[in-house]
Amino acid sequence: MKDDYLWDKSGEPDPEIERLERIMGGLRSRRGAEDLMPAFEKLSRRKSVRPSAKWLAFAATVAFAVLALGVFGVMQRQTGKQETAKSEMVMVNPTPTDSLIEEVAPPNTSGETGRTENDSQGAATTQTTKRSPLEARRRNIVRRRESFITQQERTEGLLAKEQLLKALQITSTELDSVQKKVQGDEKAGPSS
Amino acid sequence: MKEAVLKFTTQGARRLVLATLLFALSAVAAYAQEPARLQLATLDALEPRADQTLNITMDGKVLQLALRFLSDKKPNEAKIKEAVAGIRGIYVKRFAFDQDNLFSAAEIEPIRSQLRSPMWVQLVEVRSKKAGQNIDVFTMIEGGKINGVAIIALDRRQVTVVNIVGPVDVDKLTELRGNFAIPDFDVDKK
Repeated sequence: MKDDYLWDKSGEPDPEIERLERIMGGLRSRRGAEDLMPAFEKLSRRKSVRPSAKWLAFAATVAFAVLALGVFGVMQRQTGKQETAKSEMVMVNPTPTDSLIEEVAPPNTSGETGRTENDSQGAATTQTTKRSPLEARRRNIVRRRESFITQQERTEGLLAKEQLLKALQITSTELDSVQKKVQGDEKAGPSS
Repeated sequence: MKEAVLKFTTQGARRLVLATLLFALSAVAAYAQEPARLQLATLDALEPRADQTLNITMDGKVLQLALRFLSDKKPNEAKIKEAVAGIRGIYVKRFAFDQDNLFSAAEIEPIRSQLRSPMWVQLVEVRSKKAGQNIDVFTMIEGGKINGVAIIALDRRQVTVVNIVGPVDVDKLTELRGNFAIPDFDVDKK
């Protein structure tokens, strides 16, 4: 019974232990358990993971927000371009509207329709008629948008084309002169 | 329970950040990784001495834009379109001088040193003492296919360096001669 008091103060008090408690009580440490037990210190360090997790989550959120903003910006720019194109359009490859639907139709697969390859043009037209008018119209609009470009794009495109032609001209000229030289050497080789 | 949720969140956030970083890095690496592209900037030192200079830099976007303006209906342009299909970049530098020997071989050396990489193979070497003409054609072969071409053509009064990046059909390019509606080499006068 006396042991119970010593253990959790539930049993009959032992006067000797009470006396010792009184004497020793004055010497009781005021420091916390963390200072006395290193294990507590470790535990408290683990708790410091919390802010880093928050920071990581915050960083990830910011990264995604930046990414989302970037995508939004690109989309806005595209929309802006389209609106500009509406006000200032130049047709590069004018394509008759009627032929657009035929162009949009996917290539015929003989397995699906049971037709031969010679029939493919007819099959394509047949498939187009099966497509809903709304879908055909949507694709038609997409195609028409693609065939229109702005004046600025046209100028840049023509400049790019000219540069490409010049670059290819130089390349082919050099390659051609090399080829002629090599062929000339081959012809001259056996006779010399 | 709270600890488990916290741990899961931490790991998830870390993975997310890592994935974002990896994605960004891979995008940068993909952009930088174009082994057939030569650094031609060293040739710019020739410009002050040159009478005429031509500098063409066409990367993927500009090439695609140019291709949009080539018609499939015109046979010449269709041929050009076919020859250029798949090419990711064309870079040309040409310097024409009004006197002989205004440049030295050492000035072309930085380009030649890049072509000494084992990825490049010399296809043709033309040396003509009479005309003072040197032409070297190099190809970069990857996976059994030509993935780049470099041409260095020198004569007494002209330096030309061509670098094509991407799958190239050399025969088709050679055949293009005569398919151009524009007059012969006409560089901008300084």
